[in-house]
Amino acid sequence: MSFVDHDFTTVAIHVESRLDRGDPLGAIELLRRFLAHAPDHAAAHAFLAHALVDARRLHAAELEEETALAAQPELGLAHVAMGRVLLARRRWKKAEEHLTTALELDPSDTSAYRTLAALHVAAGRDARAIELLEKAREQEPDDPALLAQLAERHLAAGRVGEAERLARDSIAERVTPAAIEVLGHVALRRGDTEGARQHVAWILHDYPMHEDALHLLAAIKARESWLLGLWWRWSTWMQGLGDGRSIGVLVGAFALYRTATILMEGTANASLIPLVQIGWYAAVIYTWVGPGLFQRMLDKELAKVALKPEF
Amino acid sequence: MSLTRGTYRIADEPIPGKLSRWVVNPLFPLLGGMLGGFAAGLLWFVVNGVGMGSATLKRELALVAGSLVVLVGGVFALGLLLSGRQDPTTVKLVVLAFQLVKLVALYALQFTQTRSFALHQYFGGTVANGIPLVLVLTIARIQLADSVPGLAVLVLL
Repeated sequence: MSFVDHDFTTVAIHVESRLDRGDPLGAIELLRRFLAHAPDHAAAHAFLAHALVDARRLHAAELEEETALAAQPELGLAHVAMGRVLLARRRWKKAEEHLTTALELDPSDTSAYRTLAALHVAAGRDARAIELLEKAREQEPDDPALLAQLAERHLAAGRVGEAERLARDSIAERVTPAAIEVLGHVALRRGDTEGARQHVAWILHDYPMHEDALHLLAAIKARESWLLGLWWRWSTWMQGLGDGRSIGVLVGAFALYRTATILMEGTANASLIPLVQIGWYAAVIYTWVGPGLFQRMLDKELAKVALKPEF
Repeated sequence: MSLTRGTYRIADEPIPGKLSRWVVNPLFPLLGGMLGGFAAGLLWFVVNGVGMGSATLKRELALVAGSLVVLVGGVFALGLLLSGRQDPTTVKLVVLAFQLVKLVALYALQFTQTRSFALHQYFGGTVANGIPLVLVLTIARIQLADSVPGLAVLVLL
């Protein structure tokens, strides 16, 4: 092993740790410093691509991936990273090709299985996703990320007991936000709102920068109050929309509003126009004020959440 | 990728230009386009993108050019479609169609530029206040609206 590769092994351990903690920016900085000294290191470019995907910088991730694959076309890590980029871009077929290549290069690569499973979930093929994750589990029965992902799938399918068991097995190997989130949802399904809130605190305690707490908190708010829950679900959903869908929602809403008012003019329904206008202005005010308000409510909620010593 | 002063630069990191001190949050060109006129908004987005050294400048310029082509093409098509048919409802729906194209273009530019803006801020770039220019453009639009020839309004304002 060359000096550079030895150095990279050390860097890779720290990078993985940062990514597991939901700190892609920290991972990017580590890799940036490494690449300043070894700009042709294919694996470093592939790792950087992974970190950039986590940081949602897909354009840069794709360019890093192309660099990695150009330097080392048979680098499985690079194919998995490219699969993740293409999955994020919703280019399913190409993503599947790269992930299949990654598995051909290394049939025991659980990250390739996990990403392929995520692809099938996105395409609505839950059963196939579980099948792949179970196959991966034959290779690595104690992989905590794999167990957490399997737990998520079983929870989504309503198999709460199985989800809980897998999540606890995952945590026994290594605590991950995904497994904690599953346990939080299990608590919520059983009507234990306070228990679910403690899981939010647990995620934040160990992973201050992780988004999973947000999803769980939105679900808790939904359980506490129908109206407030609607607000939280709507805001979380709006935050999670991609660019195209966000534009579609915004412009579509305006199109509906104007078409309705134009068609109502001069008809028996003309008296309803002020109501439609009020509804529209309320939606406009929401788009400007809502995200900031949601963030302040979230910060307030997260400040209230404190991990109880006995938990 | 590139090496700059002993560090590795990632492709989407901004290279600030001479206009970098005029960079604003992309929300302001969006508002400028809505309130001060479409053409003004487009121009502002271009200047903003150049100022922050946006990594997606080519995409932004393509959006600007594409939207103008669609709108100008729409004006020509309008002449053919509306010949002899000028009932108020049809005219309003046609104007709405033009407004929707402009909104899609403005929002697409805002979303595209927002990522580069986040990086511009992350790397310590200066951010100017866009409110004064939005106000100036809004007032200018009100003052100049009547002097813009008929169909050009559909493209420029």
